[in-house]
Amino acid sequence: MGIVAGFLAPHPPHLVYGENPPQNEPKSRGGWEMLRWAYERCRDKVRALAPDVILVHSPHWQTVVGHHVLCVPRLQGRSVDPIFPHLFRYTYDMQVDTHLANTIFEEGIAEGLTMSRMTQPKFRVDYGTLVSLHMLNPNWDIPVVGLSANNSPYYYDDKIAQDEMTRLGAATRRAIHKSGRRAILAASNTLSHFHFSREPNPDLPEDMSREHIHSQAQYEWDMRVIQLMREGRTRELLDILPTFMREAFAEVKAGSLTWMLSAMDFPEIPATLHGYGSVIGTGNAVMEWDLSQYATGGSPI
Amino acid sequence: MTSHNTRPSSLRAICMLPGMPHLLLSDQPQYQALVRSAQALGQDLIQRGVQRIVYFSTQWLAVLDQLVQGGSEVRGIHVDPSWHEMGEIPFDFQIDRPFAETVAREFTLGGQTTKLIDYCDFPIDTGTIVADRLLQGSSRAWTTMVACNVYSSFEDTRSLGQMLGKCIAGDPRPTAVCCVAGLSGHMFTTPIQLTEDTIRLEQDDTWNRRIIGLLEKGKHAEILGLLDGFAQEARSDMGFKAFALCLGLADGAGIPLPQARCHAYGPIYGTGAAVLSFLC
Repeated sequence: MGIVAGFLAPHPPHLVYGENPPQNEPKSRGGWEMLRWAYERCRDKVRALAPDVILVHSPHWQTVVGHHVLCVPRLQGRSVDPIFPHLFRYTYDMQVDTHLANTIFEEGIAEGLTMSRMTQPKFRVDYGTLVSLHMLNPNWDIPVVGLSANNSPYYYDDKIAQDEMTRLGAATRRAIHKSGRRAILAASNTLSHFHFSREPNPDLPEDMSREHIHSQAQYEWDMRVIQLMREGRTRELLDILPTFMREAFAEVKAGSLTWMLSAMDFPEIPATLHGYGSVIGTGNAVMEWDLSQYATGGSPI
Repeated sequence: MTSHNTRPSSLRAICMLPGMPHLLLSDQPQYQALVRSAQALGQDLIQRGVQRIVYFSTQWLAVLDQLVQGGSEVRGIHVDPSWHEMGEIPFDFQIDRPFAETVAREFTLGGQTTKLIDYCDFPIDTGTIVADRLLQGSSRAWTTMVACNVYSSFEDTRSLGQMLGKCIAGDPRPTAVCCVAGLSGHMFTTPIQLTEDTIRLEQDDTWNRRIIGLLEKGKHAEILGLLDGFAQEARSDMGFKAFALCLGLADGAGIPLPQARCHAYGPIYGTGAAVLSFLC
């Protein structure tokens, strides 16, 4: 048991919108196929790995005081994206692995972190969590654990913030081992995050003739970061993340990627790039670390 | 419409209220001055004949477009994502759709790419819900809401306020505008006992009192000169765009922004909060 894989799983709601799943009310003519087809490969992998749980850390569940974990056995509702309500009005029904959530809470406390359990049944799950989980497993037949993005990156300097996420990742890893679960992790974040200030074609959001990366500089940053991940140069990646955040407004600032890499104990195996594409100018990569193949003795991390 | 006769302006009041859920969901004594003063202000608005409240909340963030709430069914149960431990807050708004359409049209004519929001289950921000429950209690005046665009500058927001003020002045329904915002923004990031809540930094308290004092004296130009310092040193809520909206509203309605009255000031989890009114 343990962590069998990690995915960089970006969450633009456009990906759900483009797919036209039954859970989402608005309908489209498609769009962003390269990223959506990248996720199809991940779905195949998720099914093959047969995890007990998928954990996701989302920048759009922001919490000020500590790190929070969803801890209600079943969460249902309708999530309307406040920025893109015309693209994402999603009916969800998820099972939460509350045993693992409680264990993460306890291990986080033991790590010296401020932790909180979210136990309100009428809590509205954020779209970042929903999009990443849907794109990895649209059947929602695998229990999940959702973690918040503590706002410390925006209150303190990046080093303190990344240290928090590193410790949360370590606590998560220990919790997964204690629980005996076979787990997949999802870091729900975009890479470079400067974006258009207006929707390029309000009459047809999926007008791909208007979709492109915001700037060449952003593109080059994304490629540099992706290449480091493809080469398994995780420690170098961590060193440049603060600069990446500053120069490309990278969404990794919220801590999801650092959390996941730490939980996987900073793997030096090459990550697989399934696909890269822009969404209203932001850079998005769907990537996978398959720990089931490389772990010592055939055991995952 | 302001005129030289005795007919009162449709813009009856502008107020600034904090929007943290602690004011509704905690019974701690140190929040009661803020709570009671907001409730009393709500009563005062009713006595002034206010029939519509427009909310501008720094917690309703827009990124791409300017958003105006025009939904027909805006009710439900809200749980704050950060303060979920405090519980649920029911809400029920009676949206003034025709007025919302007027506002959206005015914003569009003013060069803002504007969307009128009308989606079932569109998330209403905590701040708007808290402010509305404090001001209105169980009453239901007509309402609408205008989002705070993250990328709008102070001057952009002031222009938005002018357009909104113009809409209010051109409409006969007596209206109050409630800006939902805090003052200083250094929140405690570790758990505290609410009984020990205080303004987190002494410099924040100094800044807050200075700004309140200037608002009470009507020294708006001086406040404009202090905005950068207030933002950098005290982490003012969204760069104090709420004040920009207030200035713009008065401009658009053709009246000077009155001197403020501070009904209460205090901490909410380290941040500075005040109940302020500008009665027109």
